Amino acid sequence: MTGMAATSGEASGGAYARQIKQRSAAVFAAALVLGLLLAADLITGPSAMTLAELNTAFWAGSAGQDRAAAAILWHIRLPQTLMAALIGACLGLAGLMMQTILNNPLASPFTLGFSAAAGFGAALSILAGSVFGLPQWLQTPLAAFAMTLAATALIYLIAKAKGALPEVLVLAGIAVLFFFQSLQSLVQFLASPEVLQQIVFWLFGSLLKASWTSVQVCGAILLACLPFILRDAWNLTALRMGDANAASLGLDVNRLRRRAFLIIAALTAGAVCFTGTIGFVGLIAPHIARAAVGEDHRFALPTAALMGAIILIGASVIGKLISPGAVIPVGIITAIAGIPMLLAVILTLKPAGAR
Amino acid sequence: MLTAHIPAIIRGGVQILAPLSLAAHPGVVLGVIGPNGAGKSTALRALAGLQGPCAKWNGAVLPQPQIGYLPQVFHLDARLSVLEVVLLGKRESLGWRVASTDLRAAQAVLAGLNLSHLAARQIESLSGGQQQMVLLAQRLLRAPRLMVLDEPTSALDLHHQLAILRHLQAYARRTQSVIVMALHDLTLAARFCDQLILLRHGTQVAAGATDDVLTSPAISDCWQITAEILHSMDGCKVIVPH
Repeated sequence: MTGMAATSGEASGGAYARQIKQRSAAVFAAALVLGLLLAADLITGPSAMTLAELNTAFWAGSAGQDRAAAAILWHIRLPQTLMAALIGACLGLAGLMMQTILNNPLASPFTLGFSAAAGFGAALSILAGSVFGLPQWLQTPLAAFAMTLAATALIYLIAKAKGALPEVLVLAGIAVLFFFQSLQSLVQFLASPEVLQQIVFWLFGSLLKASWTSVQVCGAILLACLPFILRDAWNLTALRMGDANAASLGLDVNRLRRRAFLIIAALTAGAVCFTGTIGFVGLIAPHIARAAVGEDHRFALPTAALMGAIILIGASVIGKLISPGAVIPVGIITAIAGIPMLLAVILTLKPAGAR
Repeated sequence: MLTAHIPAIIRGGVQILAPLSLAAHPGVVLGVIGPNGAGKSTALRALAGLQGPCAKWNGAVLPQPQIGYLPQVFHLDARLSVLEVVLLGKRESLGWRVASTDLRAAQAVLAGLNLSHLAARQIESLSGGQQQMVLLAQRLLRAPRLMVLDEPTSALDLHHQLAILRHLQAYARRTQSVIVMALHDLTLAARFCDQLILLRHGTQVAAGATDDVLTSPAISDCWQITAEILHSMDGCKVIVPH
């Protein structure tokens, strides 16, 4: 009997080691695909630059002799490509954490009204014009970021008072979503046609607004959040066993939810404040990650980040290929491509009784 | 020695549990019995410290990691393997790489419950009873001083009910820990519990050695049935309801 148990134990240990190897390979493969897509995104664009020209411009640096090539690569394409990867990673991570803490496969970073708040902040800033002497390119992201944090504070206070249960967070989030959406509509109603056009363009979610500043800010937010996210990887995995089970493993479920919620808010605010609303990435990337590597969050978190980046860079490449003259905003591409993906998710969900 | 003083618990203006005190020596299996709505689960949740620390060991508050609480069964739908679920029992000490000692300990607990053949299966694909046993394995991996189990055999067939309760009894004896569990099956309670607490309408009706608590009048009074108490060949009480 002991011999049998030992053999069986070794077999399960071997299976576990194999599983870990397969998951590591999946993360590596996703990173490789992302690398290829980053290169593809850099070489596509309206100016018909050849691969050789791009290569020369890349190694010549931003002060290269070919001024046009240097400007296109170093001031337009590189910031846009890097921003797409960063936004995708932020939204993928935020989406997985949101689905885990709300125990809801249809949750996304925007479920709790963060994008509506960012949209209202941006719309208000565009309507008000430059205040406090700040240039518009800086003031609008700041306003979007600040308003997202205001929405966060509102939901956080409710969660603190009533306990951070998934249903409390979702209901508070829906209230915040409708509140900021109606304020956004009010600003649009008050705006002149020219200002309205600017607001609508901001809301589209376009990488054309990316710059080195936005790359640095979004990158810094992601880097600052990463240690906290990775530290909670096992705790988030434990939460998948349900609140009662996680709590009986000594996990403070409410504190974990509040902590994760703040990180989700920071990642979402950092992702949308410069480029506008980009939907569906945060909803779909976690599903692909879970299907590829399961729900051990040590693997699911990096995979969700990589998948988010892959989806967004893919959308950027498609946007540039479909309409080389006038690049279609990625927000529109992800929304269109996201609907069939969302339907696929709904169709593969198990019925409530079987869950 | 385990001691606990559970305060009165009031919900929606109604007292659902009167103050309750319990004590058990190391190695003891303590059963909590009573009809539906008697307050068994409420008492166990309180004892497990979910409403604040309550249990003491030799007079000192028992820290949360020393308590292994298993709530009533519900379906898990996580995409995690059985081995991963059991490993989560070591949540506090798990690093980015799982230590081989933790992995071996998880495998040993699964083997002890004869669950090794399920190790690589996804938890969501298991039956309710199998999930219940996996969660029990997870709690056992924590090697708690106090196990608080809410109907740990409710989803199990007869074979597994006996196997699990034998395992738990042996665990309590071997590790000198205390197991407090709610049970509906009075014959199983008679066979595996050293002491019983009988609850009715949120109040303790009787407490003490199993043979003293489990009497025909007490059963008739609490469950509103007539029960005949027989004895099996090994001397255990068998409760036959009429």
